[in-house]
Amino acid sequence: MSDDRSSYDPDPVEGGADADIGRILRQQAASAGQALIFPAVALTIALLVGAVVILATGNNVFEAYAALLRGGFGSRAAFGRTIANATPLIFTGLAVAIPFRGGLFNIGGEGQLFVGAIAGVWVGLTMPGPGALVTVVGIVVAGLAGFAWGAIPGLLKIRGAHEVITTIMLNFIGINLAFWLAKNPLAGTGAVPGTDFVPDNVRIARLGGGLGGAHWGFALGLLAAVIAYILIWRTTKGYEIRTVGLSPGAARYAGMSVAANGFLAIALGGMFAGFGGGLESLGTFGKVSVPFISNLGFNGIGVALLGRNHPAGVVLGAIFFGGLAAGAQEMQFSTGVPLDLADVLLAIVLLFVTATKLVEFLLGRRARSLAVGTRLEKGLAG
Amino acid sequence: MRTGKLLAALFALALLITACGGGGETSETGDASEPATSEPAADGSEAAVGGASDVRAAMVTDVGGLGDQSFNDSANAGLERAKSEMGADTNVLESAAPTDYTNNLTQLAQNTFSPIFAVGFLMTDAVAEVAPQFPDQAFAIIDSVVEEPNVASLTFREQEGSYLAGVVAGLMTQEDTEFTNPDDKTVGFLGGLEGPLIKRFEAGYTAGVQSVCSDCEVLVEYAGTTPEAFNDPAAGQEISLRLNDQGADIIYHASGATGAGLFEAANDRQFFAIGVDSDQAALNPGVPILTSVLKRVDNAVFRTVEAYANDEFPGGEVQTFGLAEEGVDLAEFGEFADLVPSEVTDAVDQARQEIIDGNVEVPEEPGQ
Repeated sequence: MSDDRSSYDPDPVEGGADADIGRILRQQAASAGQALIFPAVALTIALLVGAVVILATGNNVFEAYAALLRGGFGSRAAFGRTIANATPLIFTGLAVAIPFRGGLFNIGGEGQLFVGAIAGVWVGLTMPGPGALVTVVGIVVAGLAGFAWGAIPGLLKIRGAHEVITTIMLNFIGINLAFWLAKNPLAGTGAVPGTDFVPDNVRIARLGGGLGGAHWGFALGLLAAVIAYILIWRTTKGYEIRTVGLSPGAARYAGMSVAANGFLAIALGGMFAGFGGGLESLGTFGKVSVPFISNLGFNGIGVALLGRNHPAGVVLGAIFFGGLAAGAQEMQFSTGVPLDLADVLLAIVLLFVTATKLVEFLLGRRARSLAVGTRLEKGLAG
Repeated sequence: MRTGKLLAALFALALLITACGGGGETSETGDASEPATSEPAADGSEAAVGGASDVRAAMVTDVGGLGDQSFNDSANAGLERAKSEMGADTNVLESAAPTDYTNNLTQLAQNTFSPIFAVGFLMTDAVAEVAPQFPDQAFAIIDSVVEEPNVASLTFREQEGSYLAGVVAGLMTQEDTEFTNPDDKTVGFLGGLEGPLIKRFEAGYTAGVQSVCSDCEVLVEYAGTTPEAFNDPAAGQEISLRLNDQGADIIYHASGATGAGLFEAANDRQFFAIGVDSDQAALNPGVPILTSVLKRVDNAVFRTVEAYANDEFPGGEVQTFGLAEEGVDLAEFGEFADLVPSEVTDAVDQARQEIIDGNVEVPEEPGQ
């Protein structure tokens, strides 16, 4: 492939899209295959390092990895656990990927998710009306709350405050605000501190079919990825966001507002994290407890990097993360490998996915183009 | 090309893994003709150590996990004891996130473990969700109550152990040692999250102090009203120093990791601390920790496994473990035992016996 870059990044110019659908599909398939090489190499190396760790804990490597695979994808129940884990990660992954395309690094997914979660439960607990309507309103309000929480660093960015700092700080505020609300105005009566459960008819239905705790939020996650793709690659606004991300100078010269597009990118990211939070609180848990979820927002950064900040990649990355967590559970059940090994594997995978120079060394310089979408310096331009 | 080789290797590895995956749960190795599988045959899974029992007992930790030197470790010790003494088949699943609670409980239940212990009140909702799906299996929740016919709720009368700590504090504050000042009969209590649970510790401690020293003053302070109050050593130190400034020369804490601040302060100012949950004197050598109030989650777990094996599982009941059931106790005086006169140890033994005999009822709420 001589034109890796353009084939990875499908022709953004309107009119080119329907010129030769067959050619584009072939290109897409080829680029998708190439896109997988990079994470695959990282995964192989991680599995090798993980094997050393497993041996060091006195366990059989193949038994452990077999359990890992079985626990993630080996049965309907296992796959259900995987996609239940993956559901919020799709959203928090998008919460990083979209601002990244606009040149902003959103570390605030955790706080945005908490704000969305508590907003969703607030609607679920207090709004009268038919269950399905309450659910829909709850999810929408969760997204709006996340949008508002993401808008704050967006506004501060226009005023010159770096979004990395402001989003990190807003995490603490968002998390503690959600906890305060869950323990005071919305406090429930159960043994676990936090809100009460939302009514059963408000709670997001499970997928069923032996998939355990997986609920319809997963379908919404796939839908969200499609919407994010259309938004960023198939609309004028998305084109502007990507242009600002790639080259703020050129964007400004072309008459685009760097400030407005950056604001929109990070607020949209917050909105997706907020949706994810609402689905967790209205679906997976049915309430916001204290402590609530942990690290979904931060793991979203890993998901986005692994998925190279592309919606399709984010979905795959989320399923990978979710599968690893589900598999680690099976691994600690049927072997003596500690749960922490999953974190070690993840960390190594991410290390190699982001350490592009290392993989260039392994695969040759021509592999450099494969790294597109994960190189922070590109995303952080300006 | 290097790419090709790498991909081939990757593919081979993937094949191997999937091939082994098909080999069933307990298959030891993969294909013998594959040199890469010749690892040392270290089988990590627990094999039952003889014994006639066919009990399969398991537990799920909360997010604190194993190694917390607190109730997760203690519960595990109880399970280990069931394994070695009764030959029970055991398994422990740790939880990395609250989502894991239901997953882990379900996994153990599907693998026919029973009884299954959920360690910690944070798992209350998860047990209430999972237990009804497996009505023929037994569950137990520690430190909380779940009203299901197949769930035993294991709670502790922490006030009874705290009462003994109060007896020690009330008597020792009148002694003349390098750590205590007999002229000022003031002792302190450092609580974590202010709520019904820690109030029980306070109530028992205060009652214990008053029982041996009616003119002693007990200063009470709490670190906060959020779970963070159990993990705030800085606040613990600040409060401890303040209580010491007000004359408290013995301070008992029920505040989780916040207590580390008390130990710091006790070490700086050379006054006595009393630990909680596990034998904290043994864990902090050199620090003037007089004794600790023990919460024997291990005994509660072991007794419950035993009851299950004897077809006496207390499903649907709330069991409270106090001094009589060896659910709580006071640790042995360790490093500073020489400073403790025999009257004090005698008084502790007497108080313990009176509580066990039912002659003394320890209040659950302060000010009774």
